[in-house]
Amino acid sequence: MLELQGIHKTYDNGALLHVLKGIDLAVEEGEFVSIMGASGSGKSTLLNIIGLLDNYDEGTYTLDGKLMKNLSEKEAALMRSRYIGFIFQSFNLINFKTALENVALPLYYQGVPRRKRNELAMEYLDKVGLKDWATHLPTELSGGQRQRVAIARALIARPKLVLADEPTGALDSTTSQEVIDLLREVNRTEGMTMIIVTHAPEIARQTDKIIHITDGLISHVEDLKHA
Amino acid sequence: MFDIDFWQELWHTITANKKRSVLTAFGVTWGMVMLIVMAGCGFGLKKSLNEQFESVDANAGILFSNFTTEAYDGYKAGRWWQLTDDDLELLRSQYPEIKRITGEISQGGGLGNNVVRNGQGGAYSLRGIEPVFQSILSTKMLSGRYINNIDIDQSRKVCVIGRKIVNALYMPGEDPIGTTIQVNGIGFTVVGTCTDASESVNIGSEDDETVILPISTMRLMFGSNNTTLDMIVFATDGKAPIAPLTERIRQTLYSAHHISPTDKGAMWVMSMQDILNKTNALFGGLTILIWLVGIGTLLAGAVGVSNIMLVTVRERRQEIGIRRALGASPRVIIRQILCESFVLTSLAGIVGIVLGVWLLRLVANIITASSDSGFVLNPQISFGLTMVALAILIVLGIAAGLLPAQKAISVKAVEALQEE
Repeated sequence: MLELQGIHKTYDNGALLHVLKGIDLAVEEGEFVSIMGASGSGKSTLLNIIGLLDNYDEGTYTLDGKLMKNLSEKEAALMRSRYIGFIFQSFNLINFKTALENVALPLYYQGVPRRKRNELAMEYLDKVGLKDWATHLPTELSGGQRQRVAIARALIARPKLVLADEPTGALDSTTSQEVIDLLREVNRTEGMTMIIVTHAPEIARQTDKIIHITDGLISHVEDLKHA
Repeated sequence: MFDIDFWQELWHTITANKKRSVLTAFGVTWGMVMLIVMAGCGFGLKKSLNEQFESVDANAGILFSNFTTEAYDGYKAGRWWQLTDDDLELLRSQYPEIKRITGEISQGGGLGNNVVRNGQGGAYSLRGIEPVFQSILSTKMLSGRYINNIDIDQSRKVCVIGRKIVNALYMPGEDPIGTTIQVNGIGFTVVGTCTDASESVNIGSEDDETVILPISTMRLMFGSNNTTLDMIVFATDGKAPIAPLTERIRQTLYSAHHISPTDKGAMWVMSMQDILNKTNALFGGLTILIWLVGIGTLLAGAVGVSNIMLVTVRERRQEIGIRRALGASPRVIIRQILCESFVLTSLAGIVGIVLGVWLLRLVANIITASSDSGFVLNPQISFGLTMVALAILIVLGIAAGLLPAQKAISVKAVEALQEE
């Protein structure tokens, strides 16, 4: 599905910060992978690079057999829209849009007609169990509900790859479990590749593979599926 | 394609902060009101003046004498000289392009009540003319007749009086024709009443406040048989350019009166064409000024819109970041910002146009209601001018969005999303 080789990333915010120091990583299609590491270890940066939200300085990144290098903003937007769904720790819903409109937004950018868009959005809201909340604004929903709306939004365009940056970071343990169960189910039924960044071991343990990042390098990989 | 979501979002962002949007829009509205009102007044004034000028013969010219400014032919500078009947004959015989020419003598109305009827009186100008005078500097008759050739030949004691004199000396509804008034103590029969043909173009005294007499009678009144004239008026056939002609006339009269050919101050000569040209040039300048000020004010409003849009883009960084993560291309973001600025500017501008036109109406009504002079400044704005204003607005609206749009696409999705 995707392969990274020797990825380096340095930030220049006054002082140079070498965040990723040569990441080699391959993720198979349909895999459910978690990335763990202390804060500042570079795990979010890695996720952003995989999600084409950020660029890298050295190495190669191939997604679905295509080399992702020096993409223009327009190309990156197109790739994101076609291949990748995002779930964020802080949900990042648009507050003045209803749950339904939020879910439908990725399809809007793909030029899907309004009626079709709303039908699909309702279907996905139903999948995450929020059909009755379709007309509510994000501010009227609980944290768990918001994250489920965000998951529906990430899935609606049927991306091949779903990236989740601390999806349970802002949720209590019961809700966290619900969210992870949902992701697991989607991974199983839809066969979508999932990569989640987390610092909660009980979450990571439920994935196929845990990639541990320390100080900008992959320190070791735990294969849970074949263990 | 009509995209409901697109417009909904647009409307949302504009109404999300109503007070700010309204205040910003007010700058543009105000600029538009200024532009419409000023352009409308300018346009109305110009139109009124053009109507006035229609009653003036553009081929008419006038000249009168003044003190010489150069010593010449044995005479000192500062000598007073006067036009005479001989000059009239000289010009008539030498200039075939002059179709009509006549002289006028006048007396100002500053010396007490020179015109009296039944004990009521006032100080008015007196003007002695020949009948042809009317056809050159048109006087508009209200009733009765003008001075005719028999009046001149017989030096009749008849007169034509202006509208304001009628108002001062007669009761409302009273017919002045056939009545007698005292002019400088001599009884004259009123044969006609008149008013100014043009409110804005007057040579000498206003017809409204003038007693017009046969020139021969007026000369007798002053007890002399002299032949001096205060003013010569003429009309050309309109074929020859007037400027070289007036210069040639000047030289002809100068040589007859021993005046230096280079003396510019000894005679005042002017053609109606000159006056028209000068007025047109003045109005051309005024129009440019109006548009400069109006567009300047509009521009200030547009800068305000641009400024607020920059603030809005800054506030919506996270939202823009989300959209980009969800696959919005830079073009989509640019379109959204440009349309926002365009819609805000256009709405504000259209309100300004409506307000401006309404205000012009109001001004027009007030002026018409209180107008006594008959000179109607008729403020109005043409549909074409309104469309020009609208076009300027559209350009400004889009231009105002350029910088904020640039700012919006420079937002990095990853940075925007990390801000909370």
